[in-house]
Parts: sequence; C-alpha cells; structure tokens
Amino acid sequence: MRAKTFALRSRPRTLPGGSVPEFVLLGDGAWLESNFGPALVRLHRQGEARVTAAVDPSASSASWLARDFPRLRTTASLDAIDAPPDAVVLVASELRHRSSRIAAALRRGWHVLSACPPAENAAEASRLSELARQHEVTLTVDLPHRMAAGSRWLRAIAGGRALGGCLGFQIKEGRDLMSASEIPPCGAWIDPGVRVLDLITGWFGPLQPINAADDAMGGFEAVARTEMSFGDGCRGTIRFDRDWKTAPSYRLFCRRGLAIWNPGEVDTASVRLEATDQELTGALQDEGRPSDRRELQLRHLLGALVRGHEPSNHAASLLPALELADQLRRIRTSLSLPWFSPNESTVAHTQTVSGRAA
Amino acid sequence: MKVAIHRAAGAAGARLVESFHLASSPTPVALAFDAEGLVRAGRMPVALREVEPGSAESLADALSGCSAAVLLSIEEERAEAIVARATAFAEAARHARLRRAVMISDVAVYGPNPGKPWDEASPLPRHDPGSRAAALSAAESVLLETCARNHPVPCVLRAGWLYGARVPDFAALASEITAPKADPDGKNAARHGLHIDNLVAAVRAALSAKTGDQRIFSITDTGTITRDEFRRAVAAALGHSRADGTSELLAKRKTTPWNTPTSRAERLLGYRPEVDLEEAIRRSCAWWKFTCE
Repeated sequence: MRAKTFALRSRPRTLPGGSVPEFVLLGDGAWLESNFGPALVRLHRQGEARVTAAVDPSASSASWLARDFPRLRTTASLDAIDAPPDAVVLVASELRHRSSRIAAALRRGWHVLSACPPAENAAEASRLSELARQHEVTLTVDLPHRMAAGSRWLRAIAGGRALGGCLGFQIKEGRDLMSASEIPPCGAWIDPGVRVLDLITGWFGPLQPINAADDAMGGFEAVARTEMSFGDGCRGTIRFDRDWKTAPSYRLFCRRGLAIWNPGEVDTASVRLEATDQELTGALQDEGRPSDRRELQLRHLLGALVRGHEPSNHAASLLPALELADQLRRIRTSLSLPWFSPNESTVAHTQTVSGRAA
Repeated sequence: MKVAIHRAAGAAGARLVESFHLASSPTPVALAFDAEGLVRAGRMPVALREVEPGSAESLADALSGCSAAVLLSIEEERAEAIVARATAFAEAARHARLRRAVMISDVAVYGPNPGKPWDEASPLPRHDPGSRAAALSAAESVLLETCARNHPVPCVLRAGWLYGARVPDFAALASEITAPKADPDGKNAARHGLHIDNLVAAVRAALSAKTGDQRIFSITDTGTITRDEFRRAVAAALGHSRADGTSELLAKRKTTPWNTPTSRAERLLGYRPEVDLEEAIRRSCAWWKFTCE
C-alpha cells in the first residue's frame, strides 16, 4: 500500500453561504468539451455548479460553449476573470504552459482541476502542491483511470487477495491518450506514461527501474520501453507505443494464475488459473460509462471542498508516478530502430546523444 | 530546400520526414490535421505544422517558406477526401509559390488487371464512379490542370503496393502469416510492390529532376517476384513456415504479376531503388518484429 503523501487540510472550508460553485475553463476547449463536456452540462443544468467563464478556448469549442452555456464569458486572459475565491478552474493548457497557468489560478485563491500531469516533472508538481497549500486551495488532477473497473480489479489482484502474490507484470499502452492537444506533442513517458506509472505505483508501491529506452531523436519519444523491479525480486515490463498503436493490455502474473485487463469501450478481463490451461473471460462492470468518471471526479471535488477534505486525486498523490517518470527519462537509452539503413542508424544515434546532452 | 510533407501522420509521410531529416537534405516540414498526427515526426527536431482539413488557405499558410511539397494521396482511403485534398493542395501550392508539387498516387489507377502490357501513356480504364481508383485518377487531373503553367511544376508518382515500416497493408500480411487468425483487412493487399524506402528515393528524384513534358511516373521495386513468392519470403523472414495460405489474398497474388514498368521514372527522374527486394523484405520484417517485441 502506498503511503499517503498529503494530510487533511488544517482549516475546513465551505463555499460561501449556499452559493453555487463556479467553474472556469482554461485552455484547450475541444479537449474540455470531449472529456468534461457531458459532466459540466449536467452539473450546470441541475444547478449544482455554474460554468461562468472560458479563457483562451480553441475556436472549435465555440459552438459548444455558446449552445450549452449561453451566458458564459470568454476572455483571452485569466486576469480578466472576476470569479469568487472558491471557484474551480479546469486547466487544459499545453503542458509547457500548464504549470504557470495553474500557479496563476492558485494565487488568485481558486481551486484547480488540471489535465494530467499538472507539470512536466515531479519537482514542479511538488512546488504547485506547496503553492496550493500556502493559498489554502485544492489542486487536483484528472485521473479517471483510477476509477476504471479494470484498474480497481487489478489493484485487488496485485494485493494478492485473489491469485496469490504478484510475481510480475507486462503492460502495453499507447492507443488511448488523455493529453490536451499540443504541438509538439508530449512524449510517451508523459502520455500514456504517467497514467500507467500512477496505476502501478498504486498497485505495487515503489518500483525500481532496471532499464529504459525510447526512440526520441532530438524530439519527443513515440515509443518507450522499460523494465522494473518491485517487491521481493519481482519484475515487470512496460511498452508505450504511440507510433504503432495496438489495443492496450495489462497482465499480472501471480502465484496462482494470470490476470489480464483489456481496457476498451467495455473493459474485459480474463483469468487463467495456474492449475488449468483454460481461460475465463468476461466484461467488467464499471461505476458508470467512461465519461461519467469525469462527473464523479467533479462531484468528489465539490464534495471535498464543502467538507474541507482533500479529494483522492489531489496533485501530491501523483508525485510517485512523476518521480518514476523522471527517473526513467534520466536513465533512458536509445531504442534501435531496425528498419533504418545503416547510415540512418548512425545519424539517429548521434542525434539522440546530442539531443539528450542539450 | 524545405519540403512540406502532407500528411506526415501516415507510414509514407513519416518515413519521408525521417529519411529527409536523417540525411540532412531536403529539410522536411511535417504537416498533419491534428497534433496526434505529428507524433511520429515529433521524435525529431523538425518543423511541425497543423493544417485545417479541406482549407487551401490553412494549407498555404503551412507551406510558407517551403519550395516544394509532397501530397500522399496513396495513404488516403476515402474516395471523397482524395479529390478534395488534392484540390486544396494544388491551390495552396500555387498560392504559396512552390517550385514543385509532387503527388504520390497509386498504380491502382491502371485498374485491377490491365491484361496487356501498359505504361504511363496507356489510357486509364473507366473506373466505377465513387471508387478509390476513380478518385485518384481525378485527383491527378486536378493537380496537373491547376499547375498547367508549371507554377509549381507538378509531378505524379504512381506508387506500387506500398510495404515496409508502419504500412497497414504490410502489417495485415505479417499478421496473417504470424497470427492464428487471419486479419480480414489483409484481403485487399494485392497490388504491385514498392518498398517505402524506394518511394523515398523516387520522391527525392522527383523533387529535383528535369522532367521535360512528362508529369506521370510509375514507381515500383525492381526485380521480378510473384505475390506468392513475396508472401513466402516474408514468412521466412518472420521465421514462420505458414506461408501456404489459401486466402483470397494469396489467390489474387498467384494471378497478378508483381512488376509495373518503371522505365520512364528511371530514364527521366533518375529513379534508382534504394533497396533490393531482399533488403526491402528484411527491413519490413525487422519493423514488424520490433512492434511485436
């Protein structure tokens, strides 16, 4: 079990007498629409929250905002927003700008729910968490994967409750991404990397990287692989692939069998017991449709603000995953890309080395 | 020379960007319709530009500073998009004052089975309206007519059945060979062969060659191999003996010659394949193994 890294806030807060919480949207409107749109519209229509302003949304989201939130104000800067202190800002800015946008919102006394991750590295995320603490506001991160039926199922299996102790894992990810749109795109260690590392650090506790490699050649990696150790001599491998996307797969090898989770529209799971060569496969029941996980997050956040608790997806809870991602990026080597000509392989290696030195 | 690759998201686009960048010439500019389409190109420090689909104006902006551009119609499956994108590309290329506009079409325009010797001068068969072959043929005409006064100089490369790293048809074939269940997508993979690195060689030639009045060139690998033999060679390179499939794909291959005439491209463009068949199959299978590791 992972150690808690954040204590309950010392001074419980409540929203001002009966006032409805306000949401401010910041950044990639198209991403916010596709991920939080249905949840925001439901909360807004049911009077549980009001979406009052959008800062620098993309043009493609204009019709959604005008249709569903006709009284919403659109501005180019956060400074032009006059939301009350307990407003919640949903931040979906490009990763390279996200940290500064979050900091600006926190300094204004606003709570923040950020796209994952809130910052490019653990040190910056930690600084933001501290800033939130200083300003007595909450910084949370969009982590719907924790609520997926398959991830909760594997968490229980990783704990040894169903198939005995876990001996190893094999994970493939890359088709389903969560990033807000940005150019250049963030690398695979970030998306889907941080999300997967968040899951396995939650399941297994601390992991030690054995090796890591990726295909970046002076830019951002599309393919990344790593091998890690955990527990008592157990090992696991992860492959992130945004270049040739295949269905994601999570396999846990346990003392009494193999558990497989295949995320998708319907999460499927399989169990193969050690004593048999047969496999049992079925659909996992979720708490709701995937889009509802966002609504659950928003409801948990609003509930936590009223009760003065930290929600489970507070930014500090992501630090173990970000620290692991930082470690992997520090030790990574170059993947050999075997379809290159010999000459291209030489140049690619040189560029990788000089790119990482820079 | 800066050359825009439209679109860099697909297998051929990604390989062109990769190859141009690693050779330091020409300088690639990667174009895509969304940020995710720039992931493959983003591994290198190259210019990345997002283009609004169907907008000649947006494309012209993205082409600014480039002297040539490559349109990869071969990687577009939807017939209606092929003509619309070629139209926007031709208009944008003129507006951006490019010197050369290269379109990668497909030997599919010659029809499924020409039945007699044919080359670029042969009249094209009457295609079913709305078919992909009809759209490619129309898209070629759009480019050639829009650039009729050689601003920019147009060049159409009719590429053979593309295979190599990241090419979905090749992946379908490899999957059919290596997996217990055949991938139904592989059924349409029967065409004339062109390894992706030979396409890169042809594009390099097309960007600079003096082509005279000729604008259309067929490009395939050199050497003779039937599709059945090709399949067996891929199976052997993947370490599988299961090459004697009975699928529709194999049946088509037995009746279709592999080669397409490339003499015009060799003579006027100076096209020389980068890799022979053996190396082409080795590189293709090496990529497949890499993805399956």
